[in-house]
Amino acid sequence: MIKVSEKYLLFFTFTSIVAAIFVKLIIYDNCFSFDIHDDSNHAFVNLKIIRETLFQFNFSFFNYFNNFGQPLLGDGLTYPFAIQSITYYFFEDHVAMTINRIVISFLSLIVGFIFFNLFFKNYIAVILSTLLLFNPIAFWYPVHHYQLTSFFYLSGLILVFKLCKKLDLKLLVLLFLVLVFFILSVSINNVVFSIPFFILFLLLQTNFTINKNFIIISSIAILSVIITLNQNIDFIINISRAARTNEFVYFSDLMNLREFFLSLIVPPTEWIPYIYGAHNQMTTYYSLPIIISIFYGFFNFQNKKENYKIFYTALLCGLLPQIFILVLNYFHQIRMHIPLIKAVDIKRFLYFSYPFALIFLGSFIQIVLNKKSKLITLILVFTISLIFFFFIYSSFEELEDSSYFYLYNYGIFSLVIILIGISQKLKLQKTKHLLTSIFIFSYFLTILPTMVIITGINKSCSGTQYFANKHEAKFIPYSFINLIEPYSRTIAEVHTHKGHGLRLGKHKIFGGDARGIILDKELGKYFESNNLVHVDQIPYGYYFKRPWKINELNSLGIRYIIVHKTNPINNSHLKFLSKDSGYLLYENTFKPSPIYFSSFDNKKKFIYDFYIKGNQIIINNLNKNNVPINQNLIITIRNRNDFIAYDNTGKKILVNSDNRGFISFKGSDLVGINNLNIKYSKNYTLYFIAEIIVCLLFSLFIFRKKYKI
Amino acid sequence: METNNSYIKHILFIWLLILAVLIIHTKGIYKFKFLEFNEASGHLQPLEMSYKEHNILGLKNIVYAVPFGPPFYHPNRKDKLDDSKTIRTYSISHAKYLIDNKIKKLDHFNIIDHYKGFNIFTNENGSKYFATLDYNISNLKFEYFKEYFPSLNIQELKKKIDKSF
Repeated sequence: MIKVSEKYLLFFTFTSIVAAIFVKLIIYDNCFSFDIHDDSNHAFVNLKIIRETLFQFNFSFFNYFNNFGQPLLGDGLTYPFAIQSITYYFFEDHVAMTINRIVISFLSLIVGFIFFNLFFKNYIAVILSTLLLFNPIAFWYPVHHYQLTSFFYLSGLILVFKLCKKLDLKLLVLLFLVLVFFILSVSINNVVFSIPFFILFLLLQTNFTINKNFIIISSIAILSVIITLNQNIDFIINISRAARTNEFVYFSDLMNLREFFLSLIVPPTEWIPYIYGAHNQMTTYYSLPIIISIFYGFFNFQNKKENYKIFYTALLCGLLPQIFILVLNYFHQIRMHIPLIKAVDIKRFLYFSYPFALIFLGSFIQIVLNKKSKLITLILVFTISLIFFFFIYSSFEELEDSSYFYLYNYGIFSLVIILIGISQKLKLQKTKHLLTSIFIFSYFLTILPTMVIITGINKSCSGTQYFANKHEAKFIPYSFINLIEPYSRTIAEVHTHKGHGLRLGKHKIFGGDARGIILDKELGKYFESNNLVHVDQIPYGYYFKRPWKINELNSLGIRYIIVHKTNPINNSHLKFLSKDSGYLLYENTFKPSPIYFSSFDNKKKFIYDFYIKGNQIIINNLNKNNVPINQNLIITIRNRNDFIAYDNTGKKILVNSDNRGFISFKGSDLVGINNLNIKYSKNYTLYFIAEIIVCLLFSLFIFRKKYKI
Repeated sequence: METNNSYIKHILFIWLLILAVLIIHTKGIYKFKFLEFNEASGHLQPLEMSYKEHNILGLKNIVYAVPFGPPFYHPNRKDKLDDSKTIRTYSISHAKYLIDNKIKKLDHFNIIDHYKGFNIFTNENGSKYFATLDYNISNLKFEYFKEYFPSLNIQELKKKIDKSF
C-alpha cells in the first residue's frame, strides 16, 4: 500500500515531469500542443464531421469533402469512438488536444508506476515509469491515434497480472472496458502489434498452461474484439483498397553496423548529416546508460530461481523482441520482402517491448544499491565501458560535430556507480545516499535530449508534433475561406502535409489533395495516368498540379486553385481573386460544381442547389433543370458501393459509377424527381445484433458453472 | 519505507530542478549550452542514379558519385570515402566529367569564395571560374548542384551574379 504522504509526493513528482514537457505552453503566447499534420489535417477535421453525424445515431460516418470522399469509421487517423475524442465536444480543437496530451501524459506516468510497482519498490517504479514515458517511439507520437497506446497497454497488462493471481468479476469487467477502449481509441496498427505481447505475458503468468484464468482472460479479449468489429472490418475493407498496402515506406538509412550501434547511443539527428525520415532521427536512441543497465540487469538478475517468472517475462516480452526489432529495422533489405510488415513501421513494436525490457533496468538499480552485490564486477564493467565510450567519442569521425552531452552523461553515470560501490565497501551511508540521488539524476539526463529535441525546446512555439500556434489548427490562409463558396471544390498546388485540401472540410468546402492511410488506390492511379497530380510523399499522397486543363478541372468540379505566390497562374479561364500568406487564390471562370449533368459530347450543366448533412448529399429542385433523359448526373464522389439514393417519397434510385469511379445516375432514372438524397449507408444493424448475440453466448460460456468466479 | 520516501523526494527535487532549468532556458533568461543539441538539416538527394555504374547524390553543397557496390559512407569518414572510390565535387556535370575521364583524384570540393548566395569554384588548372547555388539559399531561377556564370576570373563572375538579380 502507498501511504497518503507518498501519494502527494508522487502527484507532485508526476506533475513536475508533465510540466517540464509542456513548459512552452506557459512561455509563448497562443502556443498549444497539437500536431499541425496528423491532428490539424485529419483528426480535427474528421472529428468535427463525426460530431455532426453521431447524434443522428448513424455510424456510417463519411467525409465528402476530402479527396473525393473518404469513409471515417474505419479510417486509421480518426477513431470516432476514441475516448480522447470526448474533449472535442467541449473545447476548441487545439485546446482539446492540449488538455488530452497533458492528462494522458499524467495518466501514462501513473499506470507506468502501477505496472512497475508490481515488481519493484515505489522509487524504482517512479524512475522506470518516467523513463518509459520518454520511450522514444511513444514520445515521438503524441498525436490523436497513438496518444493512448501506452496507457491502455499497461492498464491491460496490470489487469491481466492481477487476474492471473485471482479472478475477480470487477477486474474482468474493467479489463473488458480497457481492451474495448484500447481498440476504439488507438491505431489498429498498434493494437495488432500489442497482441503477441499480451498473449506471451498471459502465458508466462499461467506457466504456459491453458487453465481457467487463461481461458477467461483470453475470452474477455476476444469479446472486446467482437464488440468493436464494425470499426475494424471497415478498416480492413478500406485498407484493402488503399495505395499504402503494397508500399515499402520505412527505410533505414543506417549504412553499417557501426552506424546502427551509434544510433542507439547518440540520436542520429546529432550525427547523420541530413534529415533522415523525421522520427528515425530520434526513435532508436536509448542511451548508453540505459542499454548497459538493461544488459547488466539481465546478466546479473538477482534471485533468478525465485523470480523466474519476472525474469522470463522481461526476457521474452522485453529484451529479445527489443533487440530483434531494432536489428530488423536496420536490415530493411529483409523487411521489404515480408508482406504487410513492409508497409508498417516495425519500430512501433518498441511501444510494447520496452516496458518489459525496463524490468532489467529496475533489477540493475537493485543490484547497484544492494549491499551484497559483486562490487568488483560492477566497478570493472563501468570503468571499462567508460573508457570504451571515451574511445568511441574520440575516434568515430561521425561524432565530430556532436554534442558532448552523451559522453558527460555516461561519465557521471559510470563514475557515480563506481563511487557507490566504494562507499558501500567503506560503509559511508550518507555519501552513498547522496551518490544514489546523482545516480538517479544521471538516468533522467539520458532522456533530456529526447525531450529537448522532440518538443523543440530551442525552437519557440514549434517543434515536430508537440507545439504550434493556435492559428495553425485552421486553414491557412484563413482569409481565403470568405472568398470560397461553400460546397465548391478547391485544390492547392502545395505539398499535402500543409493540409490545404484536408482542412477545407471544416468549412464545408471540397478539397482535392490526397493524404491519409486509406486513400483509394484506383482513383490515384487514374489521376496519375492523366498527369493531373504530383505524388509528393511516401506513404502515398498527392496534390493537383499544372498544366491546368480547363476541361479536366470542370469535369472534376474544381472551381478554385491555390498556388504559391512564386508560381502564379497565367490562364484566361482562371481569374485571380486574392493573395495572402504567400499564396494566391484563383477562380475557374466556368464556376464548376462537384455535381453536374454531363452529356455524351461532354457538355456540362452544373448543379448548385445542394447541401451536405451528416452522411447525406441532398440535391434540391432537380426539376428546375429539366432533367435530360440522355444525360448522366455526376456526383464527383468516389463510389465505394455503400451509397444509396432515394427521392423525397423514399423511392430508391439506382446508383451507378462513371468511368472514373464517381457516383452517377442515369437521367432517365431521375425523370420526375425533384429532390434527390444520396446517403453513405453501411448497414451496421445486423453487425450489432450479431455482435450482441455472440457476446451473450460467449459470456454464458465463460461464466458457466465450470468457470465460476 | 523511509528510504523509499526520501528517494521519491529526491526524484521530485530533480524534476523541479529540470523544470526550472527548462523555464530559464526557454524563456531566454539564460541559455544553457548543454541543452543545445545538434539537429540534422538538408536532404540527401538522388541527383542521377546509375550513371556509368555510379549513383550521383547531392548533400548540402557537395555532389557525391558513389560507385556501385559500397554504401554511401558518412561524409566525415574521408578514409572510407577514398577506399570506396567515392568522388566528391561541386556539380553534377563535373562529377560526370570525372567519371567519364576516369580521373583518379577523388576530392574536388574546394570552395574559393561565397558571394550573394553562391559558392564560387575553379576548375583543375584555374582557367575557369563558376558558381553553384548554396544549399541554404532558395532561388527559383537556379537549380542546386549546377554550374552557373562561367567566367575567366572571379571579378567577372561576381559581376554576372550581380546582373542576375
